[in-house]
Amino acid sequence: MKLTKHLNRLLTLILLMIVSACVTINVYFPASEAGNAAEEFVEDIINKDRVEAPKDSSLSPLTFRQQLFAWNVQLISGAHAAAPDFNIDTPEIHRIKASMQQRHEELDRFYAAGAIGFGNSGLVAWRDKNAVSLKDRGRLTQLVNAENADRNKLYKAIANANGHPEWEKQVRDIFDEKWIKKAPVGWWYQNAGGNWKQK
Amino acid sequence: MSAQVKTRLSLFDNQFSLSHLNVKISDGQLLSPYVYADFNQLPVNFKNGELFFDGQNLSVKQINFDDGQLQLAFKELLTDSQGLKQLVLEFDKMPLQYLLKTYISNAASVPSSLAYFDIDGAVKGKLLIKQHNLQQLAMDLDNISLSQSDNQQRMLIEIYGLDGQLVFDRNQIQSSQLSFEQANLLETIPLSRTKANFAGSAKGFYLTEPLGVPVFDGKLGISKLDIDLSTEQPKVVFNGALFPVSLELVTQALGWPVMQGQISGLIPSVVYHNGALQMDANGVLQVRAFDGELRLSDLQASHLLSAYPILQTDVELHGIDLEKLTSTFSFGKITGLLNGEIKKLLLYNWKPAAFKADFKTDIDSPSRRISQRAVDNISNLGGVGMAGALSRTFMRFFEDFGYEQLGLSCELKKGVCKMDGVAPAENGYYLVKGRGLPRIDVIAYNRETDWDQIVSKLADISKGSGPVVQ
Repeated sequence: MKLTKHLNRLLTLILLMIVSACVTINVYFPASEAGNAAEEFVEDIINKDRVEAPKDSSLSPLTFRQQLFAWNVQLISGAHAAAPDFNIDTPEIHRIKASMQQRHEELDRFYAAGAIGFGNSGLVAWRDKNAVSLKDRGRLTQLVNAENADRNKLYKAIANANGHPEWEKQVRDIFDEKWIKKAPVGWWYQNAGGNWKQK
Repeated sequence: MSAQVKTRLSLFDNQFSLSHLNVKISDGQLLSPYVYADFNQLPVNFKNGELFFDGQNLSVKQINFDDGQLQLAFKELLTDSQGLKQLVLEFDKMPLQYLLKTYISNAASVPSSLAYFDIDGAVKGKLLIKQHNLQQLAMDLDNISLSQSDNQQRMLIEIYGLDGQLVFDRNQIQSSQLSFEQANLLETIPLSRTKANFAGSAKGFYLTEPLGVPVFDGKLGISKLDIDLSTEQPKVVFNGALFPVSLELVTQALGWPVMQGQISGLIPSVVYHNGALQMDANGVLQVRAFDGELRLSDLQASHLLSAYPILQTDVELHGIDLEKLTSTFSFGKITGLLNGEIKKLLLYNWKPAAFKADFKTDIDSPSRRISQRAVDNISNLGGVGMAGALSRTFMRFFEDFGYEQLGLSCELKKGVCKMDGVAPAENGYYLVKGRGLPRIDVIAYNRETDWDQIVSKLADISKGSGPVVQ
């Protein structure tokens, strides 16, 4: 009797251990899907104007009136191709992306001039203030601050969209990698050690 | 930077005082968080300065600034380790556009959207800063105009003829008054003469009287508008009602086919916070059009007056007269009454990005007939591809056909419309279920269609170009 009881207890304990071992869930950050989504996002920001489709005059800046009825003009590309397991398709993320695309048109020449570059935490960093006139420096400071505010919002929004706010750091790291990867020749970036390198 | 200085200097230990200070700065540049100046372009003068430096902090009893266009009188200025501690500043006819473009637009810490902000006119006033905070401000505005555009030169908001007396006290509630002659939202919605009486302090502002804002030929009545400044981002609570606006004017303003009808609504509560706008569950906007009704509820919006607004709403349709609808859009005549709903209609930058829509005609409609042309168009929309085939058969002798019920549902997600109709058919669904003789049924088999294609076809149809036979 006593032995059976002990045996029962032991079996129960072993069963519990097996079950809890099976039930342990490690949610791994889907690095490969996230990487694809990030790369496509970055591509849409940096290279939007470089890889330009033949300019269709009916697609050039619409007035609000036109826009309210021109439902078939796709402003944001890539909505269909988002990786199925990694979601970057929320309204908030689309809005941030549109904001970054518009700002990029002004930032472009400052990247090329080497005044700013991709820092090593997914943000834009100052590299050489002297590459810009004092007059432009004020405007560029405003833009860099606004861009970094958007990027911080973006990484947080993507982590939240996937139900894992704690993924923010990993999202940031993946983007950091992709900004550098997609940077055109001549642009500058900071490596892990904080040193500036030119592409 | 180079300057010409003329003054009487007294020194004592490491303290000094300057009186009758006149400084002219004619070379160099200054970049600080809120001020940028290029003295090469525009030399500046400081006159009649009385300053005292006690070894640590600067105190300026008075000094006058003059650059030819802008005159400012600084008094009782004190600084300390945290920066500007106290200041009395008086200005008369301060030219706002000049101040903005010359000294503020290119400063380092102003918002980047300021580059697209324009202001015109001059103000008179006085401000008091004490203990590092704005304590008091009094300003007279006379015929000011201002606008904010996005970076594609599209006007988000324009205000003309802004007048008022603003009185602000950090700690004590003060009353103010503001009015404008005319305003425009998104280059499309015109507002006319509005006058607001309000009161507040550093904690927030509220209306002291209900406000009426004329919109098109109607009016937005605002019974409550509270701006709470105690939170990190201002929070606005708004109660109001929209008194009927003619749909004809709205559709004209939007460049749409002109529609007859009215828009009105009850807005029991709208909260705006952090760029997001949310209408209370009981709020309903009603559009009377085509002898029927559309009801918009559960409205949420984000960054409405920006380059990328997001809007979501639920829509219900009741008793829409199809004859009137199809004639407005040159769709081909259909008679009958249409009901339907669009759940969670999501608009990105005013374009549909997602929704779940379902439309069906009322079986009890007094008249249910559909013309050949409408059959062709519906077939084409549903991708049925028998468009034009009708005219090749004996059916062409009939101008129109009776129908039992017609309808369409579409769930839009990621650019694809998942479609269904009024009733199931073998391997497909009925878009039009016929009635009587001759009987015509339109059955579709495509369950998924590209949204862009549907919109393109709709645009072609309403432009009058015939459907493409596929």
